[in-house]
Amino acid sequence: MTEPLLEVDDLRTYFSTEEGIVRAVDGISFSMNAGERLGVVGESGSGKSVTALSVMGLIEPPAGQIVTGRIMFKGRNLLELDEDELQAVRGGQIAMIFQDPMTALNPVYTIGDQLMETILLHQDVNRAEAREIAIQAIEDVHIPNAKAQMLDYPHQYSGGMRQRIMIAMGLSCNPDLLIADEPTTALDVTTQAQIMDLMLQLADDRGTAVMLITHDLGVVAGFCNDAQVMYAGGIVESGKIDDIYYNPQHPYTWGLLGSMTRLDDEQRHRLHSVRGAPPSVIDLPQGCRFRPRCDFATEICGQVLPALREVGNPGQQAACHHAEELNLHEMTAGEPPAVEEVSS
Amino acid sequence: MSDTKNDPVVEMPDEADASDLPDDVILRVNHLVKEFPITKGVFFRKQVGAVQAVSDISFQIKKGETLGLVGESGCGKSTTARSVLRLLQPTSGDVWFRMESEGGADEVVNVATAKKDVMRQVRRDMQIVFQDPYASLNPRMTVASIIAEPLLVYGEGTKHERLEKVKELLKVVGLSPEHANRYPHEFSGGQRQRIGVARALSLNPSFMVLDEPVSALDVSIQAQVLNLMDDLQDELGLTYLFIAHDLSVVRHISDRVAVMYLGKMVEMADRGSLYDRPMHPYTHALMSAVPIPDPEIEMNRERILLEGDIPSPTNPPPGCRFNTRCPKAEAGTCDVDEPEFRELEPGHWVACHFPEIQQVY
Repeated sequence: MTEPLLEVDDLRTYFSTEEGIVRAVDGISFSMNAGERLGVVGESGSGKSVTALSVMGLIEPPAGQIVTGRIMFKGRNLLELDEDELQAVRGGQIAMIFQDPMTALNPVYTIGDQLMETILLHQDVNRAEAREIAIQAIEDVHIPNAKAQMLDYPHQYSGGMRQRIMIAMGLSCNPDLLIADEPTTALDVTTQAQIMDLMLQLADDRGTAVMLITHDLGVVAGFCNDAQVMYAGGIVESGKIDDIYYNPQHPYTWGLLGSMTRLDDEQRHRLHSVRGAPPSVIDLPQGCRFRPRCDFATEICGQVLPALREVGNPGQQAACHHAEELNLHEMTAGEPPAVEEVSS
Repeated sequence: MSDTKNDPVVEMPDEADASDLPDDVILRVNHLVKEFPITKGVFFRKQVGAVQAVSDISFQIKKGETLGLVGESGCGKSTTARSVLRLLQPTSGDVWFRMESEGGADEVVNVATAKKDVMRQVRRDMQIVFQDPYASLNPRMTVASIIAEPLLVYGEGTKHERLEKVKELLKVVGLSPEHANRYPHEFSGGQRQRIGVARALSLNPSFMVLDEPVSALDVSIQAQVLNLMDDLQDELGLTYLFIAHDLSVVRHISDRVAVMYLGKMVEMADRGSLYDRPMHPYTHALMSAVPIPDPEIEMNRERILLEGDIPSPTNPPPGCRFNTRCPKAEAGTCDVDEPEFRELEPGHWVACHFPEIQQVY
């Protein structure tokens, strides 16, 4: 087994606000191998975007702070690099695509200028060579007439085209890791299909590892090899995607799958729906953070925060005290749980 | 199902009194057109063109039924909804609505042309729930005053009776009566959407337009609100026009589904036939683009990827509006003749020159 590309160890990113300390990411550990496509799934406020920003070194003190943890990327701890060293990694070896392609592009510079800026910063090339690389990058994302497009401004493009440019920019320096934070959430579904198809093809061709941050379990199913589910600042379940979808071990994962409306659902059945709403990250519940919404909670759940541990199939992990007893995959999501089964 | 009641395009004489509207139909939209002018100049505004956001569409909804209206941004689905409620004045076309009047007898009115006093009555009976639960509630009003406002407008009940009604409505939508004196910012998105639903229900409407009611919500909350809408329909016999861009949500909630593209309706059918036997190439592409949360299905699925973007509605392509992106388009036909909206199977309407059933998942 070679060394993982990215290894995050006990990362805690907190924000201080007037109301108190927001524990946006609270003790997560995970790793990614070269070429792996990892889906980070969660609802708003689960800490998935803050995870990405922490890896990118984009958490700005004093408001936000990485309190503890290590982020090892290719053998170096990113948290110990100075700004110059970090700058070389960011954009060059780790690139990021944001949700809203309009705010991520600068409206007063041409597409060409913005692409070339990244290339000139990270590669040892002159302007003419950078221009060639930029044109190639635009062609790679299947935008016709690349030379002419270099002179266009972002407002002349539709949302899908802008996101293509973002991908071109992200991949122009051949990064080892691409972090895509909700890359298709702002787009229509047919455009989403185009963009995901493009990303899959490019990442596959170049062997780029992708961390796909999304709330959409459907997008993850078609794109990722592995997935991890986040809830209230922690990882509640991780594993191969088949395990997550077909053999969920954590009640939240199970509930999330049951909440989803499916295009191929013939029966108009009642959705399972996880009751209640996620807790405030300022005032987290004692013990398991999912307890107030969990149908299976017992006394211990209110006292001890469960750690992520191996359960289910090999390589699968879940943070639930009762994972073994529940046999969630045998229960149809939507059926009310039989409480007797879990009294322990 | 093959009777004429499923016929959305019934030609009516100009002076129609809608007496042929079947008893079980609550809404019939006939040749609805909505244009927005494009103007030039600041002081002397001159109209230089028009965007036809909704371009001659017809459909009807039966009592107690849910019609789902789907399409991507800019297809005209929200404009259709707002024209039906006359929040926008339709440019032409009729919107026949079966209004419940005081005595219990029904009365059919044309919402598109009704006078002010009639509209005031119509509005009691048709309500809307908006997409954004953050923007659609006044942050300076308490929940009680938000929900009671429609009652106040129609002079219903005393102050005490209104408050009782508010508490009852809060219970109906799954909130606690103690929430009445709080302000919207104290609630989460899902709870706010429930407040919006309670407000819409306050005047006991029979017909509700739900304009993307769950698209701003997280998945687990989305499911709660969808279940609530389902329950309310069962309990109160409501009729819904459900607007959404998410085809899987629409499949879940609708009895019949209509697909729109660039201001036109391209396909309409029962839920089952639309999803199992879609015939329009745009419907195929749209469905095949929707991700399914199932790795095995997803990894083995053939996607129909459309080329390019939706053309501008200011200048829609001639012939079939989808011809510029359609994988089946034939030059000389599709870019010349506009396809008719035809009933190819009982209750299954398609606007395409070359319709073909295709399985997409």
